[in-house]
Amino acid sequence: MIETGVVLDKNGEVLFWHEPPGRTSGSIPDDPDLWTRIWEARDIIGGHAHTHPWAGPAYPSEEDLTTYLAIERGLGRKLQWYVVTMTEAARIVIDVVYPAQGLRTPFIGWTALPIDPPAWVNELRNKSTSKEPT
Amino acid sequence: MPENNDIVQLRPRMVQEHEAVLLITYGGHNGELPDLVPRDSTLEALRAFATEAVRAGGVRNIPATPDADFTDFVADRFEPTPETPWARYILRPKTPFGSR
Repeated sequence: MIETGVVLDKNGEVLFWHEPPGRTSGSIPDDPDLWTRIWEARDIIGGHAHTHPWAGPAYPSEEDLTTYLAIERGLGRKLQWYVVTMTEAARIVIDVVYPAQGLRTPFIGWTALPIDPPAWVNELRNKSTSKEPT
Repeated sequence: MPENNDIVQLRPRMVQEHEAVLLITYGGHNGELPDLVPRDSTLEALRAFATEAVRAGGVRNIPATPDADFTDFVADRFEPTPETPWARYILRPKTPFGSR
């Protein structure tokens, strides 16, 4: 099992798969090329999905949430974010709640809304079952 | 000669060996910090330079953004090359994902 991502256009269709080297069953590493490609597609990009490749609830990690926020700040607009497990798929709605004065890191509230899996979900799961990055 | 080429021509004379150009992406805009930054700047320092400048509207092409937040941005550092003989740092959003 290996985490895999996909970047979607505004219609929810696949723009490109995100399969950088260094992925593991628990992480997708920072990838300058991903930001470059997102920036180049900034007028048509709609969102990003990635797998947590196990059976069970789909919800974001702290790393996911801070990456979501950073990319939205870079682009200057919101995107649709999805987390997909082998059994569930959810759209993640984030709500940033800043902490009391004096604390630097914002508390990030989120809600995972189950979705009917679009066509790309099965391919994303299939790519996540590979033992080696494709 | 186009204005951009003028800038390219001037850079080698302007940027010292201990300095770097800081390029920033924020709010859907790209810009260059008007001041050069020390080449040995830490990531925290680069974030601070960018935050101060973008909040104040001090980066050409990036509108003033009083709540600009570079907390989860990272820097790609490009060393001088024969084609671009000065150090360039690019401050961009981080992109890792992780379930664990």
